[in-house]
Amino acid sequence: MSEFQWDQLKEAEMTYSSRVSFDKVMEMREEKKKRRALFWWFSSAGLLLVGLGAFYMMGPKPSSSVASQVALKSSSSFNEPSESAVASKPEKTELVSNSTPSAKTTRKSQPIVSSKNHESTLNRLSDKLAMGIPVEAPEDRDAPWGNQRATASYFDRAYESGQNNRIAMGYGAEGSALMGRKDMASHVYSLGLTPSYAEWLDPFALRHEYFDDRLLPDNDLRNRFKPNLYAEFSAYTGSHNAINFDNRDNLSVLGTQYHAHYQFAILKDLGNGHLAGLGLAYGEWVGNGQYRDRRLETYTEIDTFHVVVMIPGNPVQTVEVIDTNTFTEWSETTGTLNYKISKVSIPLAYRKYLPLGKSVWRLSAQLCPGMTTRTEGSYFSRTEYLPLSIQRQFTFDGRLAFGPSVPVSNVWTIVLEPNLFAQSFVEAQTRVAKAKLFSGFGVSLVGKL
Amino acid sequence: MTEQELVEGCIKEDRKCQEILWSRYSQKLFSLAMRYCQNQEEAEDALMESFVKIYNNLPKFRFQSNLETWMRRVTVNACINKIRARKVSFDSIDDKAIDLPSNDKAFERLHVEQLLKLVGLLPEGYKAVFNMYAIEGFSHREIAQTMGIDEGTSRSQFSKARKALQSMLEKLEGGES
Repeated sequence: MSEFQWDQLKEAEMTYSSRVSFDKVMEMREEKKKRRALFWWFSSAGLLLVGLGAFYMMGPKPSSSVASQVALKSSSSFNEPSESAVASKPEKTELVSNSTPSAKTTRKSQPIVSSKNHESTLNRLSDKLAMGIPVEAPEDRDAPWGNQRATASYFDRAYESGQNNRIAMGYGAEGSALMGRKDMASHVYSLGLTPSYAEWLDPFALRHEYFDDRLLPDNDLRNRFKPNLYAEFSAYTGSHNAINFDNRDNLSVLGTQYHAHYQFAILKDLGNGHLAGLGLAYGEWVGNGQYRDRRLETYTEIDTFHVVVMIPGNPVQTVEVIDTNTFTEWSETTGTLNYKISKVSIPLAYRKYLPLGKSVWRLSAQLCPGMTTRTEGSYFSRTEYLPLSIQRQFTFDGRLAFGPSVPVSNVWTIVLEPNLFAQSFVEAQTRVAKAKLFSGFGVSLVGKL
Repeated sequence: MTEQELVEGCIKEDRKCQEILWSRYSQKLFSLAMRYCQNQEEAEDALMESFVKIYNNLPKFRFQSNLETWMRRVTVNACINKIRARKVSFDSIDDKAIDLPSNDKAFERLHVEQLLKLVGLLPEGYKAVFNMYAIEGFSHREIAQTMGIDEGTSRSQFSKARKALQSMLEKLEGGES
């Protein structure tokens, strides 16, 4: 086949039927746009629901039917046999104590969770409870006190008998919010820290009724259902430099990008220093810089001049000389670049408190799906710049931070957080996700609700 | 209106520019789609889908190639998707067994319409590879990547397509004489 035939084949035109038209194409396009928007909304809503669901599932479960009744030994010492107290289901508003008056409490009562072994037993039992495996009360009355305590359901509580109903055990294993008494040898409670660290983190916790030797107030039962919630106010900043002045590249950009992120979140204590929560955030992301666009340009210079030629014996002649030169030169275009992106997002937050030396440190991670509220200017990176159109676009950010937690009052602690913050958004015209990683500093104020 | 103005207008969602782009290229691209697809309806669907993709992705077009070449490529991809949806199978043969006919003068006597008809008569697998390699100018590697087959298969399909075309042509000539 000849080239001509190939070209003819390629250039051939055919007429389509009436079911195909420009309007139909535009209709199809609109439909696809709507479907895409719906997909994003449903994905965001799904993510939000998953977050909320996880938040709810990890919370206290007062109405659990598993191990609703367990026998608790309400003895004040390990070896003394005593009668059992049957703790009722959490939805019941009172606890039944069958303790005999003879089983008296002394301030030297043994710690509820006095060793790691007991703690691990508690954890195993709480795992079983969480998985819905029925846990039977141990029959061995001489079993260690801690193990028997471990069979307690979420809010089951054993009272030491006697004239004063002193608290022997606070929250059950499931809530992971075990409370101890002040005079106990060691404590496993709220954030899974030893008392000194916990005091740093949450001085209020130690002032809580559960840690007090006072009588249990009548209305104190309500506190058993009170989730351990914390409010967190945070502000983070960060910057990212885009520097590229490599002469081998056509486009060079020198610019700095900054971001500021403000958020409020409610965090739920999941025990062992783990917190998770949801919030609302507002962020701004700006960039200022310059660009240099270098292009190799070739141009031709034509120089024309006349030369008078005089040859003896011949008439004088004028010759036109055309001199052509080709030049190659770099042409440079420079300009400034500025852009601004504002957005709102829903942070799905996770925090972990860790005792390090004599201080408490906090690891925080979060994901923030959201929407832009404003996009303007020319976005740039090291290798490109492009104008931003003002449109609502999906954004997705992530943050990782680690820093010390410092108490400032009985209720509030400040967390200083050097952080890495990844910001991304979908550029409206190209529909390509653009992302930047910022390093910076942040501060969080955390208070118990 | 130049190509650049047209593209910029389409990016700005100027309906007039979008309509010009449609009227300028739709028939050419439909002819292309017809070469790949089984029937007119499928080709029309592929054409509309490819135009939706073209309008949506025009901001990504950086004028590194000719606009028409890019649009043809988008349309070819739309057609390939249709072919793949039908789960057309491609038989692989050894590269060494391929004996490409070097000079086929018989084709030169054919008109475009006849050629199109002949190409249309080719089996599905052969047809796509023949169109992509011989008419669109794709390399076998590109064809392999686009269609999700290996390079050897692409070569063998092309070889078979040419042989099939030649035999059809011989029959045609035999019938005429």
